[in-house]
Amino acid sequence: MLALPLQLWEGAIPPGWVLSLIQATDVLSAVLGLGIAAVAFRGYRRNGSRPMLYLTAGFLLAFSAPVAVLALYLFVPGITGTHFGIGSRVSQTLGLLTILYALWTPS
Amino acid sequence: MHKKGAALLQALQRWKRLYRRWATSSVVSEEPDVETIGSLLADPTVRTILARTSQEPMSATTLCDHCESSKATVYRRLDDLSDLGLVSAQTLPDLDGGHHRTVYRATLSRITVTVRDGEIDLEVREREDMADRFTRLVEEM
Repeated sequence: MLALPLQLWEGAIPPGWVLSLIQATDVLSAVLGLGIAAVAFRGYRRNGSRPMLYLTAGFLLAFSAPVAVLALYLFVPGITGTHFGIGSRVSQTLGLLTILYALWTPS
Repeated sequence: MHKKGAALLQALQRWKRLYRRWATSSVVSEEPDVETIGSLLADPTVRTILARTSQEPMSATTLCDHCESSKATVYRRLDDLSDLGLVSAQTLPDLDGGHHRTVYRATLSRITVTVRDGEIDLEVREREDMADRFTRLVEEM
């Protein structure tokens, strides 16, 4: 098996309070991401600024989509934990790329 | 049903007002000219424009209905206020008609006159929306 240099937990499941903390911060970052996306969308609407639209999409994908994927995982039967893990990571990466594009593209 | 809709709309308006109060901050604008500001404020049309557009964004045509002056005067005053940065214009795309609609909103929040040490100083504070500041930040990158 390949060594995973970024894996912090050594096989064992971390203690319960750590898991709760992780979940709480996940939800908080999803809410904050949604808030920032709303402000960015308002900026797009008010100023007709194209980069702000990409920024909105980027923040949604990077911070709020993982929670949406989690909801899918919880309520749609066929979706497994692996799907959820892959889905949320891919969405995060896509979101960050979209934010980068928003900053790069001329307004 | 109709009553419920009205209540919902009212709640929405209240949240919008709360948001605006929370998301706007006042910034000091650059050196204003006492005479320019003074003569502008002496005009009732200007005062009506500022008061009305501080509540909600309005088009020039709507403002004409509220002012007792001619359409040309309202447009001229809007230009004067825009040049000084006391009112900001925003162009909204009109999805039905196909032509754009321009609405104005007051950005002026406070004018302070200070008389001290043989001088009269004027300080103009403007409101800036968080979303606009965010846009400026991104576009200036």
